[in-house]
Amino acid sequence: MTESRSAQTIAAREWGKLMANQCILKFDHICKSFSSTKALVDISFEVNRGEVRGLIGENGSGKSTLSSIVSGTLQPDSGIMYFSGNTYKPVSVLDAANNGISMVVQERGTILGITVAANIFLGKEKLFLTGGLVNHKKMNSAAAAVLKDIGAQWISPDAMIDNISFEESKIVELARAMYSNPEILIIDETTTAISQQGRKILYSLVKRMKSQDKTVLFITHDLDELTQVCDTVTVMRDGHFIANLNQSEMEIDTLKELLVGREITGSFYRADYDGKINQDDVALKLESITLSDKIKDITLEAHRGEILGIGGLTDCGMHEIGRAMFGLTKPLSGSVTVLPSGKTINNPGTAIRNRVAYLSKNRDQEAILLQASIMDNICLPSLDRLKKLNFITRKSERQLAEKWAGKLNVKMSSLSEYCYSLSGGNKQKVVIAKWLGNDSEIFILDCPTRGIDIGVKSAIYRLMEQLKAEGKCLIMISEELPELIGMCDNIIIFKDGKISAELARGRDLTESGVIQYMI
Amino acid sequence: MMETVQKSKTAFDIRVLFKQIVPFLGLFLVVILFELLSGGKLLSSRNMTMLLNQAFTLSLGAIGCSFVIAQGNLDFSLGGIVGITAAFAASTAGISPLVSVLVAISAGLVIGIFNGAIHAFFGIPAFVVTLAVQFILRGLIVVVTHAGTLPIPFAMYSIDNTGLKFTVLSLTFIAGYLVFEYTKVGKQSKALGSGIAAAAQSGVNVRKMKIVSFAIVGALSGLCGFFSLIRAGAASTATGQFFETDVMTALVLGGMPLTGGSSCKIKSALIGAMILAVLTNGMVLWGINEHMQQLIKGCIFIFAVWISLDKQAKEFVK
Repeated sequence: MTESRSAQTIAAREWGKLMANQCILKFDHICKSFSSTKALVDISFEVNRGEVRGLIGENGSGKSTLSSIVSGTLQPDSGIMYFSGNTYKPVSVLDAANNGISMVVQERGTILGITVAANIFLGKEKLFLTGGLVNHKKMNSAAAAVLKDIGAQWISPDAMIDNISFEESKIVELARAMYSNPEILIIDETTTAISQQGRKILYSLVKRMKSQDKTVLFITHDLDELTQVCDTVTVMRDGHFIANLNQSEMEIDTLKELLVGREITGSFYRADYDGKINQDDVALKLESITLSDKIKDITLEAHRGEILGIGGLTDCGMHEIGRAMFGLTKPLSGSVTVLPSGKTINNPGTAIRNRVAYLSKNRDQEAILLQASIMDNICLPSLDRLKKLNFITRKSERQLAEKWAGKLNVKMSSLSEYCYSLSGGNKQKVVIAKWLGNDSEIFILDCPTRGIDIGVKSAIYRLMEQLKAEGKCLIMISEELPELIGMCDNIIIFKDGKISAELARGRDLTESGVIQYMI
Repeated sequence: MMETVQKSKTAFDIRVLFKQIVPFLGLFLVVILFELLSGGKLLSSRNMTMLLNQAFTLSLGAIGCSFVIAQGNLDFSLGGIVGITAAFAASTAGISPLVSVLVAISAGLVIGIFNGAIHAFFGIPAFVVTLAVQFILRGLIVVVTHAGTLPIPFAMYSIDNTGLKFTVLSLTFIAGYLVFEYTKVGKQSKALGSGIAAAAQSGVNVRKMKIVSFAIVGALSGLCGFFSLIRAGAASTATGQFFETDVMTALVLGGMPLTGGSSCKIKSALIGAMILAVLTNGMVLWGINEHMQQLIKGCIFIFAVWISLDKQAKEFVK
C-alpha cells in the first residue's frame, strides 16, 4: 500500500518533471541582418518550461537582437520560432505580451509624464473605467496591490514616474511585466541598474516564476550573477549560437572563453596594470562645469599618456559631460580648457582647432556622413590644413584619406565608396581615421565599441594603447564596465550628475566594486 | 562574401553612371524633339540667341542656388530678389550702369544674408523664411515701382548683348565650379546636406555656412535682377516672377538631388538651365500658350524630382 502510494508519487513527480522539461520556446534557424551587418546567423536552440535560462554574449553578439525578436520588437529575416509547440510570429510588443511573453528592457522602459500606476496599467486602462473615464483611485489601489505583491510597497502608485529613481522605475517595469502573468519573462541587463534591494525583488520574482513552472530568459553581463541565478546558459558570439551549458558546466573561466573565443584570449584588454601617469601633464581640464540642475559643478583633469575612463548609468550625465568637453553643449558655468595653450573650448570648431577629437555614441547620426564617401568623411575636419590658397585639391584629399584608411585597415572597395554600405566596425574605423588624419591630441570616445564586432573592438583597444604610448590623451566614456576596468588608467564614476568615485587601475578592481558607486 | 561586395559595388557604379548620363540624355532628347516639332526653328541662329538669353539668368540663379540645395535647403525668395534688385537697379540706373549693377548685387547679397541669418539663428525652416521673404519683397516691389514700371535710360540697352552675357556666365560658372568642388565652402555645404549633426561635429560652422550659401545665391540673383532689367528695359511688378521655381526645376532636371549632400554636382545648374530653356522656348515655338506652359512646367518639376530621388537610401522631405 505504502509502496504503491510512494510509487505513485514518484510517477507523479516524474510526470511533473517531464512536463517541466517540455520545450516552451524553440528557435529554428533564425537569421537577422541589418544592412550588411549579420546580427543573427542561423540560431537554433530550445528553452524549457520552468527553466531560468541565462543568455550571455559580448556587445554585438546578437543577444539583444534575439530577445527583441522574441518580444516582438523585431522580425527575423528567416527562420521560425515555436512557442508551446505552435509557430510564433509576434508582430509587436503587445502581440508578444498577449501571447504571454513580457520583457524588461535595458533602457528606460517607462513613459515619462504619467504616474507609476498609469505606467503599470499602460494599455489596460479599460479595466478601471467608471462611466467612460479612468477611475484613478481604483487604478492606484490596484497598482498598490501589484507593487506589494512583488515586495515593492514603498513605491507610491500615484507618484509621477519622473520623480522616482531609475532603479525604482525598473522595478515598476518588473511589476508591469509580472501583472500580465507571463509564461516567459525576459530580463535584459536590468541588474546593472539596480541595487541590492532591487535585485532581491528581482531574484524572488525569478524564483516565483520557476516555482510556477514558468520560464525566465535572463540576459546579463555579470557572470557571477549568472551562475547564481540561472539553471542553464546559452552563449552567443558575433551573431552565432556557441553553446548551451547546464549548471554543472557553468564555470566562470569556461564562460569567459566561450564569450570571447577565437584568437582573442587574455589580452583582449590591456595586459599591463601600470596605471601611473604624469599628474603634471594635464591635457584637458574641466573646471566646475554646470550643465543643468542635475549635472553640477564637475571638475576633472585628463592627462597626456592617460586613458581616462568615465563610467556610470546611461543617464548619469557622463555623455552630456563628453559633449561639453567637445563644445557641443555650452555649460551654464565653468570652462573646458586645453593645456598647455590654455585655450577655452566653446564650440566644436575651437575644439578641432585645438586638436580635440570626439566620437559620438550616436555614430550613424552624429559621427559619420552616411551619404558621403569615405574620402569626404576622412577629410572633412582637416580641410583647413589641406587647403592651399583656399583651394583643396583632389590629390591632397586622396593622399590623406588613403593614408589613414590604410593605417586603420578599413575594408572598402574604394575611397569613393559611400559610408552607408559599410559595417558598423568599418564605419567606426572611418570616424577614427578622420580624427587621426587631423593629428588629434585629445580623444573623447563616447562608447567607442558600441555595436561593433569583436574583431574591430579588439583593433580599437590596440589603437588606444598605441595612442596612449604616443602620449595622446584619451577619455573613454562607456557603459561597459569590463572595458573601463580593462583599458583605463583611471576611472571616474558618475552618479546622478555628480562624480561619485575616482578609481585607479589595479588588478583588484572588479565590476561589483565599481557598480556600487554607480547606483 | 567578396563576390557580393563586388557585385553591389558595380551595381552601385552603374546607378551613379546612369544618373550622370540622364541629364545629358534629357538635353539631347528635348533638343531633338523640339527641333523636329518646330521644323528646324529651334536651332536657327536667331533662336539660339533667344535660348542663350533664357538660359543665362536661369544658369546664374541655379549656380548660386546649388550651394543652398547642396545643404539640403530650398530658397523660395529668388524671384522676389530678382524683382526688387531690378527695381533698385532701375532707380539708380540714371547715375551709371556700374552703380546700378553694384546696387543690384549688394541688395541681393543683403537679402541673402538676411534669409540665412533668420534661418540659422532662429531655427525657422529655410523654405518658410524664404517664402515669407518672397511675399515681403513682392510687396516692396509694388512700393518701389509705384505699382507701375521703372524704365532705364536708352543708353543702357546696349549692355544687353550676347558677348557680355557669355563672358559673365562663363566666369560665374568657372568661379562657381571651383568654389563648389575645391573649397571649404563647397565641401562643407555638401557635408551639411549629407548629415547636419555629423558635419557640425566634424568642425563645420553650420550657421556661417548657411548664411554664406544664402548670400551667394542672393548676390547672384541680384546680378540676374540687373540683367533682367536691361533685357526688359524696365523693372515692373512682374519682374522675376516664377524665377525660383524655374531655377529649382532646372537644377533638378540637371540631376541635382533636392536632399542635397555629396552627390550634388554644380554642372547640374548649367545642363538643367539649358534643358529648361529649350523646353520653354520649344513650347513657345510649338505654340503652347503661357498658362499651359506653367501647367506643363509644374508637371515636369514633379517628374524630375521623382527621377532624382534615391528611392532606397533617403528619407524625404525637409
